[in-house]
Formats: sequence, C-alpha cells, structure tokens
Amino acid sequence: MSTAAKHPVEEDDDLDAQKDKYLTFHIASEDYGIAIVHVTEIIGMQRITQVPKTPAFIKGVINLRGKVIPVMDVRLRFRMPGRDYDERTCIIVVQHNEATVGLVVDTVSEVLDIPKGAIEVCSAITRDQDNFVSGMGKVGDSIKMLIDVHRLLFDDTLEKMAAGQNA
Amino acid sequence: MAKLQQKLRRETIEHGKSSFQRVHTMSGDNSGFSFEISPELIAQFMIEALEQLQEAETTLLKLMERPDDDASLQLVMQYVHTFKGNCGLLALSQLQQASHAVESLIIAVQDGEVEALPAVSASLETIDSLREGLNNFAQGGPGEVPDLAAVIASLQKLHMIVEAPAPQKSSAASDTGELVRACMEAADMLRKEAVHLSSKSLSVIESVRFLMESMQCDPASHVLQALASALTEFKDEESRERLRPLVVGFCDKLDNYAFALLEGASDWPDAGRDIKEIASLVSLVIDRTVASPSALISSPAPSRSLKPDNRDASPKEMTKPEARQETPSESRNESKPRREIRVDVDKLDRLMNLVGELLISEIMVTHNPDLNGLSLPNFDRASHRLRLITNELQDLAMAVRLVPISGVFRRMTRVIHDLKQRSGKEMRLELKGEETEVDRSVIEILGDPLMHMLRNSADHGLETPDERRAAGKLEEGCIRLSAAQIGAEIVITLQDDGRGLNRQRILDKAQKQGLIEDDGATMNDQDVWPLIFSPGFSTAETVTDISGRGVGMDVVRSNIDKVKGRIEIHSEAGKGASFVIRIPLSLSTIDGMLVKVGHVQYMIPLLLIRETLRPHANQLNARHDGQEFLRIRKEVLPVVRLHLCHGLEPRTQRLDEGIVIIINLFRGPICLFVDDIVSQMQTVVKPLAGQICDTPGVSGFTILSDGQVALILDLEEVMLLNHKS
Repeated sequence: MSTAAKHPVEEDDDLDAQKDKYLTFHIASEDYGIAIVHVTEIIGMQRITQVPKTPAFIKGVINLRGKVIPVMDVRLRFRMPGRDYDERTCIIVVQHNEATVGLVVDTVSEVLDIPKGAIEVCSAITRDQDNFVSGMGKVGDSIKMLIDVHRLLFDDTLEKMAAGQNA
Repeated sequence: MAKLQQKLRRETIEHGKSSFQRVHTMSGDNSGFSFEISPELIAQFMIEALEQLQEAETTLLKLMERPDDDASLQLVMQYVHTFKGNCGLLALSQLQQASHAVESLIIAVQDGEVEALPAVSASLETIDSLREGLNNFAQGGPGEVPDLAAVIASLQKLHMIVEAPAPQKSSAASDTGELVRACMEAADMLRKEAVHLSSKSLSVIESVRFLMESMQCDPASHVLQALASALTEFKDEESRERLRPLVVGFCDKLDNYAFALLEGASDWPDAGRDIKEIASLVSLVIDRTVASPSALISSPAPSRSLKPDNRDASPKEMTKPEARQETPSESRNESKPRREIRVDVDKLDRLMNLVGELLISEIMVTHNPDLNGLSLPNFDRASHRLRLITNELQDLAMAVRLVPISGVFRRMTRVIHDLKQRSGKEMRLELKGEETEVDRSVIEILGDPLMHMLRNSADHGLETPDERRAAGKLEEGCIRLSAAQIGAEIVITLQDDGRGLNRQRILDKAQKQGLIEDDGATMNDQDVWPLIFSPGFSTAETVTDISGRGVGMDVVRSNIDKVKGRIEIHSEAGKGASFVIRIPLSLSTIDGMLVKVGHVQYMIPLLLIRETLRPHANQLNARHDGQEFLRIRKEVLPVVRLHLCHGLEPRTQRLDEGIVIIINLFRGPICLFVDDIVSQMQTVVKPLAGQICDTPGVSGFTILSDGQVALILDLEEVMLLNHKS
C-alpha cells in the first residue's frame, strides 16, 4: 500500500533525537519544513475518496491501514493553483492534537537539522491570517520555510472557509 | 480434636521455614502488596467505592419498601463497612467518619434500638454526602464530606448511643509470625486437598478451621465453616467440582493475607466482601444442585459470621434451608457469580479496532480481484473457515463491551424514590429485563434521557392521587421500565398508566412556538407526539423543580440520536403513555446498504430502510416550490435528492431512472433519491480521526472490501440540509 514508507517516529523517548529536525518538502519553487515530531510516515499517492461539503483543500479521505484519515492538499491550502498528481507526489501523514491528517505535497526532500539559532521567527509584519509559516530556517544558502502545523490543520480560517463553502 | 490441632501446629512450625522463604521471594516479586498510593490504586478505589455506595443505595431503597428485611440490613452493613475500610486505607478520615456513623446507625436498627424507616432515609441522604466526598477526592481534594458534622449529627440524633461498638477487628495474634505460618500452611493443605475434593476433605477443612480459630483469625474460620457445610451438602462429584475454584480462591486469599501480615497489616483484607463472595458462590452451587431450590447460604449468613458472637448461628442457618425468607429467584439474582476482571476501555476499543481491521483484511484477501475467475476449492474451504472464525471473534469482541443495563435502571429507582418524596404522588417503578446487555458507550449516553423521561412521566404523566381515584384507578401510579434485545436492536420501553399526552395542549404550544402552521387538527397522533421533542418545548402549566422547563425531552432526543436510536411514542388519553426507544446493539458495526451517487459511495443503516424501488413517472408529483413527492400505495412521501444535499453530479437527474429508498426517519418516512444500489453488507464503523472533514450528513466512514472508503449517512442531518437547500 505504502511505497516510500518511512518511520521517523519510533518511540516517544527519542523525542530528544527529533529535536531541531525537520522534514523538508517541495511545493512550487519553494522548500518548506515540518517539525519531525509531527510526522508519522510518508506514503505514496493513494486513491482518495471525495467527501462532499468540505473545503476545496480537503481532497477527501484515505484508508490508512484500516484507519480513515482526511487528506489536505497543501498547495490548495496555501491558495496556490492545484497541480496534477504524479509519481513524485507524496502524502506526509502528520499527527497533532489527536488528529491525523495526510498532507499532499509535490515532493518530499530530506530530513534536516535546523538548530534554533538558525531560525528567524517571522515578524509581525509578515504574519497575517493566512500565513502558516512560523519561521525561516537558514540551511547554507537556502531558506526552508517552517510550517506551523497547528495553524495549518486547525486555523480558524479553515472553518470560515468551510462555512463559506457550505453556504 | 485438640490433638489434631496440636499436631497441625507442630507441623506448621516445622514447615515454617520453607514457607517463609516463599513469602520472601514472592513478596519480593510482587509489588502489589506494598501500600504505596499509586494513581491506579486510587482509580481502583474510586470504582469500588462508587460501586459499594451504589449497592448500598440500592439495598437501602429496597429497605424503604420492606424495612423489616434483616438480610438487606446486613447487606447495607457490609457495603458501608467495606467502603469505610477502603477509605481507611487511603486515610480519608472524613469519609470514614461519615460511613462509620451510618454503620453504627444500621447496627442500632439491627439491635432494634432504632426504628428502621427514618434510619434508612437518613442513611440514603448520607450516601449522597459520601458521594460528594468521593468526588471531592477524585478531583484532587482531601475527600471532604460537606457539612460532615451535620451529617453525623443527623445520623446520631436517631439513636442515643453515640459510640457504637467498634467495628470488628480480627484480634491480632500474639505472634504475627505464627499466624503467617499458619496461614501459609493452611493454604498449602487446602490446595493439596482441593485437587481431589471428597467427603474426606471435610476433616481437613475442619482441622484447618480449628487452626485458624486457634490463631484467632475469625474471618478465615468463618469462610472455612461455610466451605465445610457446603461440602457436607454436596453429595456428588459434579457439585464438588464446582466448589474447587472457591477453595483454591480461598487459598490464594490466605496467602495474600499472610503477605499482608508481613507488610504490617493486621486485618483480614476485605473480610466482608470475601466472605460474601464465597458464600454467594456457594449458595448458587447449592441452588443448582439441591432439589429444593432454597439458598442455603445466602448473603445474610456469611455477614452474620462477621460478628464473632454469632459464630454458632451460621452452621444452623446453612443446614436449614427453610429458615430463608427470601424467594429463591431473589437470592439467585443477588448472588449471581460473575468472575470478572476490570479492563481499561481503551484496550477494549483497540481490540475492537483490530478485529475490525482483521475483518476488512479478511475480505480483502478472500475477495481479492486477483482471484477472479480461478477455481480454488481448497482456498475456498480455508477462507470459509477463516470467515467463520473472524465472525466469531467479532461477536466476542463486541460482547466484551456489553454491560447489563441494570446499572442505569437502578439509578432510576433512586430517581423515583426522590420524586415520590418531592411530588407527594404515590408511584412505583417496575423494572423488567435488567439483565439485558448493551454496549458500554450506549449505557453512558442512555442514563440522562431515561432520567428525563422518567421525571416527565412521573411529573406530567401520572395524576395526583385524588385525580386517580376519581378516574377509577389505583391511587398508586405505576411506571414500567423494561429492556429487551430484539434482533440487532435493544428496545427500551417506558410506560406509565397516567393521563397520557395531551394532544390539544401540544398542538396549542406548537402553534405558539411556530412549529406548525395551522392548528394541526388534521395531523395524526404519530405526527403530533414527536413535537414534544422540539427544543424548548414544555406543555406543563407549572414549572416544578422536577420538570417542566422544557429542556428534558430535547436532551432525550439528541442523546438517542447520538446512539443512532429511534424513539416512538404511543399515548392514549386517560390510560397512559409509552415511549419506546430502539437502539442498535452496537455502535461499532453497521448493517447497511451501500448506494452510489455520482462517484461517492454511501452506507445507509439497514435498520432505517423500509423499502427500495424504482419509481414510475406517474407516481411523481412536484409542488409549486419544487418539492417533489412520490405516491406509493396510499402514502404521499417527500423526495430528498441526496446529490442536491451534498452538491454531487448524479448519474441521472430523472427520478424514474434512479433508485428511491424509503427511509423511516424520526418525523416520518422520506424517499431518498440515489443513483444505484451497490450491495448490502455488515461493516465496521470508522470514526474520523480529528474533526477536519466534518461533513453534515456524514456520521462516519467504513472501509469496503476493495479498501475504498464509503461514507455513512446520517439521515436526520441530511434532512436538515434538505430543508436549508
């Protein structure tokens, strides 16, 4: 079922080992990072069952080994134009606050160590309602935009948008 | 006998050394005997304590009916005493004091010093205070009983003896070590004997009893006495066989006691409960084996044996079946032997999940598309067997989650008791089918609605005694609460013999609240009654503190919706009303019909489906506002297009090219329009992890044999969507 199955999270007690580690992925021309503590696994594209009356960025639900989890298209969540899925499209399964969600991203790159010192926290100026990036991680010459998983999954605007869709 | 006793003791001392070694190694391994107060211990304590209070309350309520029932008094004593003991273990002194006061009062009643009724009533109130104290402890407090002094005073007021006899304490043997050895030895002897129980075993049991007695370990010797008399009664191999686990269990208790002694405890652990447990098991065995079905040793006998001075009375009791007042059925109910363990509900949920996954995987293997067109007789046989086993496993995993509904029902007895006092009406509650088993999650949700309905029936349904007399009815109103399993449903019926629902008043109120457009004169009863479930609806002229605020029935409906249940109302003016609640046996599996709309597959609970059909064009009509209707036989039913509710692209827009499913909903039947029926199957309900795609009209998901996900329809919600659109 899962093609590129990885298990970055084995046990709770290696939380320390996960500190400062980020899984980076690619959307459009930018690199993003997601704290590895949230990531349960990475799976290939699955057949997604569409669920009516949900926001457009919720693509539907998948059967993850007997568990039904919703799948969110991160591109659409970022209000970017959608893109046809190909063989490099991946679903990153993240867990946060009891919720398990699959995130559809263009490609997954690698796990990187980004120490706190190398992260520039977004200033109030660039942080607006729809911004899911909590900081900029500097790795060499490049910048990885670090995702605030809580906002990505639960941000209020999600509900507002959902309400807008239903009306 | 004295010789034997001495011999025993000598042997005991000789064996003492080896026994001690075992004690040490075992207590070293087993941390269970240390008295560290762990969260688990507290959780365990809370469960037990609440149970003991519940049991005490139930028995007290029984006493309100029959205040002269000595057996029940003894039972209350036991529960309260055990409760007190447990509180003592956790040093909850306030709870201990309050329960001690209850205990003293009950003793006074037993001794005939105090009148039973007021004492029972006062004890009932104290039980409430004890509960509050427990809650306080559960929330991290010190277990404070509100107005402790007042509670105790109100109990003591009833009897002048301020200091009741101190609760029994097995007098500490002069030498603990000797007692420990004696216990270990006794356990060993009994264990050996238990392998082959015969009439000869009697002498061994008797000698062990003398040993325990000489050690002044009274509770143990009473248990032994009970065992001995039971053995005398048991003439055949089979019944002795049944006794064996009891003997073995007792041996374990002896061992435990020995360990506890080493840890510094001086009391036989949970004496009351142990003896009662053993005795009730014994009584059941006797019930089954002796021709006369009387319980030889039922609850009162062992409890009496708690008091050392009654020691001689118990054997007489046991051998004289005719001395029992209780009817056999009653005693059997009370002494139902449930060998049980406590399991974390999370574990059960996980088990259920795994079984569900197993079921799905099984289907995925046996119905694998790769197998299509192949003739595989051996594989088919094997997969058939696999199917049988997984089905049985599923049934079992579901059964594990089932608990008898009696817990909820008993709470209702208390509700009626309180209502009786506050309303001044005469009423009684008849319970039937208490043993009916329901899924645990259902039980939790069912308590509140039943209470609201009961209050409503008692408050609005039943008339005052004067009115009842005028109507030629018994002054005492009767409410019947029954439960039964019918097919895959649990049916709970609440019936009263009161005045029935007032049709006119319901209609007036509904019109005032804008729930119906006209005066509803043409509506039939089955459409009128459900109006009382509308939010904020109450027809009571006066709002009493019992009910009438119009929140109750609303809660009833929403809670029953939550467990996917239905509720029917039948009412006849002057004769009474009955409410019938039907809930599916389990929430974790669903018998459903799989249908298709566009490319979405939906599961519809089979319980709700009346029939399916492909309509003819001439059966269809449309109202000016676009609402379509289907004429079927003599009915005209509204059509709900699922694709419109969920914004889907259907295969066809034409009703006569698709399928119409007639579904019984709360407010009457509807016709649900879908593209096609795919199949009919039983599947496992999967909740969605997280609330992210919380779609109105979808209550859950299920995984089909090809691994695809289907949506489970919540039709009541679909109706709401339909009204909006």
